[in-house]
Amino acid sequence: MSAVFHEPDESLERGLFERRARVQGGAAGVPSLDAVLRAARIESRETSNGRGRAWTGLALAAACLVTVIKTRPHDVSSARIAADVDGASSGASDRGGICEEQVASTSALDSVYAGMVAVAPASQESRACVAPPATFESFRTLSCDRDEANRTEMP
Amino acid sequence: MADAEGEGVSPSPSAVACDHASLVSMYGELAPRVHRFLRDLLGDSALASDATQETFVRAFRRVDELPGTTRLVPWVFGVARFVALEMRRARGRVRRVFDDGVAVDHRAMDTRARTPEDALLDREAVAVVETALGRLPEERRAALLLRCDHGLSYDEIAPLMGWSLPKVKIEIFRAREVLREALEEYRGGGT
Repeated sequence: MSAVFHEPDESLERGLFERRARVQGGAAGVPSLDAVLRAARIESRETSNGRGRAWTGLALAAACLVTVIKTRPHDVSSARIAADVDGASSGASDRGGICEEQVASTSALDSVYAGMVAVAPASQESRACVAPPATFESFRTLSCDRDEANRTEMP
Repeated sequence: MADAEGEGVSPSPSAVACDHASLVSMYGELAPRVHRFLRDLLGDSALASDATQETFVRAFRRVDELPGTTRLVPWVFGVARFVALEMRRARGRVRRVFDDGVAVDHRAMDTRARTPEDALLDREAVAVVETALGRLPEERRAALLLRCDHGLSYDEIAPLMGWSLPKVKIEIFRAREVLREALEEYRGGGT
């Protein structure tokens, strides 16, 4: 294994490569320094222009993203919606804003108000027992009792 | 460690400062090496030219942002390797030029051999190296090229390839075995 790492003599291989390099010649096909420098200058200019365009595009994309986020309805879980609804209904009942009509129960009211509640049906009942209007008096003459007295026997 | 890392290879790559001026002054020496490295990775001379340009364009854009401790030459080779990988991916399946040796661009070769013996050795070197490179997977080939062709040290190759130091040594050792086998085959077949 030490032969692998301590192989000292590469002169044979290097000699072959050097000879080959000499035979194949040098500068054929090699671009000139001027051409390379010109290409480097052009490419760096294109890159900086491209970079500017990229930044502009990035800024526009960011603006669009912000707009979308602002205008989009928020995603809320169903559990949170349910919690919001429950909270709103309990608040509404606190403020007296319930939709269902509650049945008044005298037993549930304070005694002060219970007296007031008891008065109202009594007055309604008394109004129900008032005699009919006087206009009906004329019709009393047509009662069956009186007709009975005036009736003549048929032969 | 009696290892001869970096010996006998071009000017110590580690000594070069990592800034724009150094890269400009090194370009003449570095660009052909990077081009050769990319041609060996991509297997296509024209594609290697494009890749070399792209490598140095990136290098010039980034070189001034690097920390002062960065070593210029290994860093440039690292950029080159990334460019080669990108081009490979973009191109899909690259021609495996080393498989049959036919697609190698021999037009670029220096045919002015000094003596008949030199000409023979030149042919041998080209044939052996390209046969061996054709047998190596991309990563091992890159490691061998960085070590034996471009003279980078194991320490410099490790971060460039994203490997540990032992892995670098093992990979290069195995790649060298393939190279030696190719040489023996060539010499055995040639005699």
